[in-house]
Amino acid sequence: MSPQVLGEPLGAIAIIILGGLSPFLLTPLATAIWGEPAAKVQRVLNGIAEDIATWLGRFAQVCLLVLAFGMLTTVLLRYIFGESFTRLNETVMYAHALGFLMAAPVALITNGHVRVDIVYEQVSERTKALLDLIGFCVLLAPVMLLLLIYSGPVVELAWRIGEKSPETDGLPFVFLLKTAMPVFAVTMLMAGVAHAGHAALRWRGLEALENSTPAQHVGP
Amino acid sequence: MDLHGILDIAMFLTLIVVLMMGYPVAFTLAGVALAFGLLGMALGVFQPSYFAAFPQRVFGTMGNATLTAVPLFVLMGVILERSRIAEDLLTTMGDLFGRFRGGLLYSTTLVGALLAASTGVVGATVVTMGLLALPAMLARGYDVKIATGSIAASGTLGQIIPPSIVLILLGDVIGNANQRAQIEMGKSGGEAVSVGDLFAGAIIPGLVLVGLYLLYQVFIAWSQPKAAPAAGGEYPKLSRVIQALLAPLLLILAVLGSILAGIATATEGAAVGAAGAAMLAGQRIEQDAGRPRSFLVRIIMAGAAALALLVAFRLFIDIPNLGAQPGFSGQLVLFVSVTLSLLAGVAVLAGLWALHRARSLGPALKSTADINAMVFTILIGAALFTLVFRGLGGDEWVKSMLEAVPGGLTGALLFTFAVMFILGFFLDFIEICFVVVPLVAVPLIVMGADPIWLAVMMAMVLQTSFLTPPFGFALFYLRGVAPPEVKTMDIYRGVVPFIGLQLLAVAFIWFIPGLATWLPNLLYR
Repeated sequence: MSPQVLGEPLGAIAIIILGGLSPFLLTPLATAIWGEPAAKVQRVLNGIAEDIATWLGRFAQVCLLVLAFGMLTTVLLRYIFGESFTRLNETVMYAHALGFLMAAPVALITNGHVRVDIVYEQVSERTKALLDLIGFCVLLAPVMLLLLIYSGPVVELAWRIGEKSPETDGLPFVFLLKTAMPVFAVTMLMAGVAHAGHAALRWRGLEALENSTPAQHVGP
Repeated sequence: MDLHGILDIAMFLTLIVVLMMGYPVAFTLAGVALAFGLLGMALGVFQPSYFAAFPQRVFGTMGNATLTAVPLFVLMGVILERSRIAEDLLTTMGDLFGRFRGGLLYSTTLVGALLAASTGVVGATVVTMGLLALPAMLARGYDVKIATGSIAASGTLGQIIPPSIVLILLGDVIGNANQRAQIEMGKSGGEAVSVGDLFAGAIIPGLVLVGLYLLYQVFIAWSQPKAAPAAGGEYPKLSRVIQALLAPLLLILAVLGSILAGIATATEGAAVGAAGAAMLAGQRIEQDAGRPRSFLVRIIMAGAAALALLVAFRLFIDIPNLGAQPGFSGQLVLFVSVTLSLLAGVAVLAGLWALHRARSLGPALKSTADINAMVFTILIGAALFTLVFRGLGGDEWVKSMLEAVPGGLTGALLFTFAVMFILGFFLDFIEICFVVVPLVAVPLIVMGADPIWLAVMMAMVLQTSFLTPPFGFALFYLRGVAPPEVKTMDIYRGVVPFIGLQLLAVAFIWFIPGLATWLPNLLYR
């Protein structure tokens, strides 16, 4: 099945999926406002989102290993044998791209993203939860929707022409690599729903105000 | 001032305020940008086509070969952390210098410098030293402030002494800015700036900084003997010193050596470093587990030997040419090289397997993936921010502002560094790198600043942001592991003299630009 054939209905499929999923973006807010009934849905969503994010994170870790070994092979081939393969170079590039895109959702859920915590560290756990909820609604969600909306046409075009590497001896999967952008946006939205959902639950007192994992300072 | 300028300034101020609310930086950057883009659209001063360019920016980041060095160096640092090289170095150096007054301070600085040159990850160094050196110093009666200040400062050396993440990010940003500046000045075929250039440029300034730290510590030991007494203890055996130094020195030679010699790009050097770190860590783990001669260790040793042979082989024999020749000798050369390469690869796998058996591989990969995702999502967020900032005409505004600063280039530079230094109190280096540097670098280079010198100066200023309270990474790490009797204020006060030294070093490079530009010119030009 060639990508050209898949290209046409892609937009429709995407719209159906997104249209179907979009109400879930509101569950954290609903949980915060109504409490228990929405919280049930929220907990289920959290479980699903966390599972998916965890698996994507593992995939990203594999990508990192592929990246490291691919790069090592590139060095050996070039330095020792004077050879260079476009396909290998591009595999390394793909691994790099997927390595950070697919690790981002789980990093959000486990608080791996760096925060400026001058104020954040001072306020109560409940306020922290509220800040996280608001942050999702006005910062994360709009940004990912923006990326989703504007990457749509780019990806659709890439599928329609079955976009390949600009190099003749490169990998023919550029259309798939571009698809990683909307996938990133959707999975980030998902992770955001879970992250904000936990915050909403904590804010409502439906989840323990555990000493929520302090923002990890894993920075380099 | 027109509407554009007002929106630009408002966007920057809003960013700083919203950042304080503590939502992850990456999405705060992008979210504030989106809001101001929409506002600009409503007011008719912003073209939505700038939003349409956002996916291209993201895709550009995905295909950025320079930045591929980031995950590799992070992986290398995280794996090395598991190999307990730092612990070994610290105890050995402590014994070596312990009998001198202030000896534990010198050993902290030297270990910080050695670790900095073998990896570029600040956190690990500060944590290790905070756990090992700090209690030792406190028990010997060292002053809390000088002890914590020394540890935090030597930990941040990792950001200025190459290989370092700051320099890689700056290499990418300044490299692009330099290209754009060349176009703007109507020059073609100007010198490109690579990460390798910055690595070469930062070495001497890094050493200057180490020298300043040491001088200050000697001064303290001399003027306040009670604050930094001699610790006593026995001299370590020479063999122990060599053993502790061997691993970091080998890595420094392999990674920095190959990059500076022009054999490898920074990214390739990083891959070699990660492979080396895996082998070293594997060997250490097996040794610590009481299996110094296990099968895995033998494979790792054989692989290391194969790698060394291969490099030596390549130095004397033109493998690509010989291998292409028909006949027995060509075949033999190829066969031997391929076998040695495969052996090296298997050794790396063996190292990873040893890590896996010690349940260290998973956590190492997880923390690499986290750091990596964090850096690159900030990059994506900053991309949207700079897009909108440009869309609102911010480029012109920054340019005219820099030109309006009295004193020409000198004034503009001083102004830039001062702003970066102050922003360093609130933001950390990744945001400053991706948001501020792209905006100011092009006009500064057009006005006549040397790109390499500019990058090294910026790296120095950014490194200071690790040390400046209240938001300095190094201080957080140290606070996290310091015993409770160490007060946060002690740490803050302790780093003040080191921030002063840092500024002194910046002044040195300002007045003697050759410190930053001499080595890269010698190596690459």
